[in-house]
Amino acid sequence: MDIPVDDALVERIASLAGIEVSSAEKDRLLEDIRTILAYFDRLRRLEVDGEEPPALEEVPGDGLREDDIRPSLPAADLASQAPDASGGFFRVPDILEGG
Amino acid sequence: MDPIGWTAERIREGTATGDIDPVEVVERTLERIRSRNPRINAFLYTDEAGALRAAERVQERVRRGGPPGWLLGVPVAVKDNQCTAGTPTTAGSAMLDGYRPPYAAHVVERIQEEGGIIVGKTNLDEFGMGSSCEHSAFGPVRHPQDPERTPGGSSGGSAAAVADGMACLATGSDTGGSIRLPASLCGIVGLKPTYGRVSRHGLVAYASSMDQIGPLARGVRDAALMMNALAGRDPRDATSSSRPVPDYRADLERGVRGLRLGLMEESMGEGLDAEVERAVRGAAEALRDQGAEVVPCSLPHTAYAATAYYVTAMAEASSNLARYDGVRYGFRAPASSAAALVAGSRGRGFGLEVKRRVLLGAFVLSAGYADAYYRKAARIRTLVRRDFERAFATGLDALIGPTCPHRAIRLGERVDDPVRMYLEDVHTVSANLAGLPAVSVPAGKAGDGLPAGVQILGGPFEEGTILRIGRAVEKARGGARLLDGET
Repeated sequence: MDIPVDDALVERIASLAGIEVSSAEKDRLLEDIRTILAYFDRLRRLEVDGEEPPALEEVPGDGLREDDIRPSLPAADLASQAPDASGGFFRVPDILEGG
Repeated sequence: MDPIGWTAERIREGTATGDIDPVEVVERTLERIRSRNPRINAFLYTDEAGALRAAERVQERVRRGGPPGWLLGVPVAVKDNQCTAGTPTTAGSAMLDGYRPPYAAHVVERIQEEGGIIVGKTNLDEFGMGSSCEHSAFGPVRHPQDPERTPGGSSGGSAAAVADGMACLATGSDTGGSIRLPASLCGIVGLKPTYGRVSRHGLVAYASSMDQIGPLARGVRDAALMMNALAGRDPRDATSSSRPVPDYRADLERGVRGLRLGLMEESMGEGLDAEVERAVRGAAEALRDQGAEVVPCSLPHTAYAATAYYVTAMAEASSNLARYDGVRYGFRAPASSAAALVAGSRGRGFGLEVKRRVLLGAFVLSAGYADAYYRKAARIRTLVRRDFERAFATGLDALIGPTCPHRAIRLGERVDDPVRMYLEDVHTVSANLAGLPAVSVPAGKAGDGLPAGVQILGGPFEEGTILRIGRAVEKARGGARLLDGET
């Protein structure tokens, strides 16, 4: 697949991934992504028509447990790991623009 | 007494009879870590007080005549992507620097219940993403035999700790080879169990359809002993199997007479270091000498496995790592809006290799590209699995081949060339794609003393069989690995 690997592509996927990329890093990532996508190109050499992805039934586990109520971890223990929490809530900057 | 280098079996038995004092074992182990770790950087955190308290609890348990436990009194290192309640768990990432989980991983609970003594947390490639332990935010791990070389990754801290006597046993995690690869390069035993055999509850997730936790040990018997403790159903991991857990040591000494083994042809060709090839062929010969039949075996889609693996793993990583948002735990970058907070925290908290994988993962899942990459890789995964099913359907009991294409590489040799680094995993990823158990066992040393491993793959839940074959390889080479300088 001929994919134009350029600044715009890196910016687009960085935005999809929610990762801020510095301009110095962008050049490096551009080069690496180009190299890795060229390596991924070997996928094209194999025909897989008619094949399906592995089925969920092949997963060995016993699947779902009973939907019974169990104690959760205490909220205070969880909030203690937050970079900024107050009164049992996580604190973040304004979510709405201009809020 | 100097318990450094003793087997877990010996420590367990001696502790149970009262002949060995677990506090002394732990003190000596901590001393070893203090003297050796500054050079090797295998441990990110050592819990001296916690380990001594645990040893005292083992003393008390023995005094009361409590149950012996599979790991009674044994010093164990835990890979730092497995949660320990109240003590740091970084996954090798600046994103989790300072994080102290409020709960413990299932495997950590199991080690403690079985009387094991956790001495510390081991270094790794960030979030398990790497094959050389150079992608840790806390500095690389160095090979115990040559500080200019890498121990392999991503469980390189665990492998180096065990190989150097800083722990008797260690846990690793293996998504594409991260237990087997460093085991091979450090000259020890590393087992990736069947997908579903060990619960991942409390494992920092990387690629959930392949992640699996397993043991690293200096000998096959000790790896089997640790599997007895780790394996089993845990309702907190929906993929964990309720199949009964056998005593994995039960059949280890039965030998290999009558077993039919396939030598994986596609893995023995181009790109394989001559010393590694000699080690693998030597192991095959030793198995033949002990009565196994060794026949060539073809897995035609091997050449596509690594690519399918990386596409799949990156896609799953981009989804799993979405949880690091700078809000609920971990690193937060200062920001004036919520969106900038998330992107800024991720931009500064993740290292370069993690960014590569998360960005490419987002790409291979994105509209217009998911069919060509992610879904195609999933279909190739089916073909890789079918290759194994066919091989086992012809009556093969296990497959053998190399673990790593070469021996330990130099620090910096590949770290700037991501695709070359990815190819470190070329022989190990198939077992993860297919969910099969595989073990790396030391199979040889070249003139420079650097070890090479043989990889043994089995059918689903055939850990006992591959460990038994590994034990035969080990015996042919004179038994379990001793620490340098020991006889």
